[in-house]
Amino acid sequence: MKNKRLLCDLLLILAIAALAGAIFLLTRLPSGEEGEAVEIRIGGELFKVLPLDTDSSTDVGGLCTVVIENGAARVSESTCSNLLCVNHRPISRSGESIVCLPNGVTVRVSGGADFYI
Amino acid sequence: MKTSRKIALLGLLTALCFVLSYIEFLLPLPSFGVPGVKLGLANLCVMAALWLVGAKEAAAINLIRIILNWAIFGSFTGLLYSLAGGFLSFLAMLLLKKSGRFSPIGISAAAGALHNVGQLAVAMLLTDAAALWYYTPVLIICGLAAGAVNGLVFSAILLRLQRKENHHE
Repeated sequence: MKNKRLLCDLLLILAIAALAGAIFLLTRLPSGEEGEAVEIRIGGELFKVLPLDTDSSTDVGGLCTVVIENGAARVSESTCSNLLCVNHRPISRSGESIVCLPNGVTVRVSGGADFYI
Repeated sequence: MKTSRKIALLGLLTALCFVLSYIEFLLPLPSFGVPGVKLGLANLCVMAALWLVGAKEAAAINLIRIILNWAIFGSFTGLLYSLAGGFLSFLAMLLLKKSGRFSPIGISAAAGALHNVGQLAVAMLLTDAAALWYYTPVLIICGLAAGAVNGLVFSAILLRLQRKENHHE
């Protein structure tokens, strides 16, 4: 009885892990290519599209600053509380993103073989 | 269980729940570069209420936990995330427990994963869904692992609590 339950547990956990694996493959496999631009959104609304091949520094509505250098984008400063976005490594491959949930800002690389249309 | 005993136990669990939330607030986990990764220790109390008392009472503790956390640590969007995560994970626990097929370890693991799915769903509604899909796999796995650890701890606690309850009845 007890072993049967543990087996069910294991199957349940494996099923969920497999689901996560499937989402991983679907969302990251096509993202091997270098992207062309980043889309910056505030609360889901498109704020700006910046090309990755031009170095720049952009103030995003006073919430944070997105810096592009050497073909990669990063968040250099932010008014948010946890600064996960600032600590995130620079992104350059299509599909990669930096999300700042406290401010509702997302930075996502587009172009290349983009999974999301 | 006698009503007075039930009330006392639920009060105790609610207080303990809040203490566990505070401990987690003081000791943030490494976030793996994604927001919202935590152990969810407070869920131990919700599980205790669900196993020892009943579904309604456990749901009440869950809701009180969320509102207390919001009032003390949180923001309004924080409340939306907690509500979505708390609701989904509780629903998962309830249904999986009812099925009678799983031990607390599997139930808690699934609840942990679904908690993060609920939070992601809110984040997708509030920001750019495409950007959030990128974080989905790692958050599901983190929730699963944290939930499994909680489930393991809870199994050990449950054994002792049930022994105690039987002793009192």
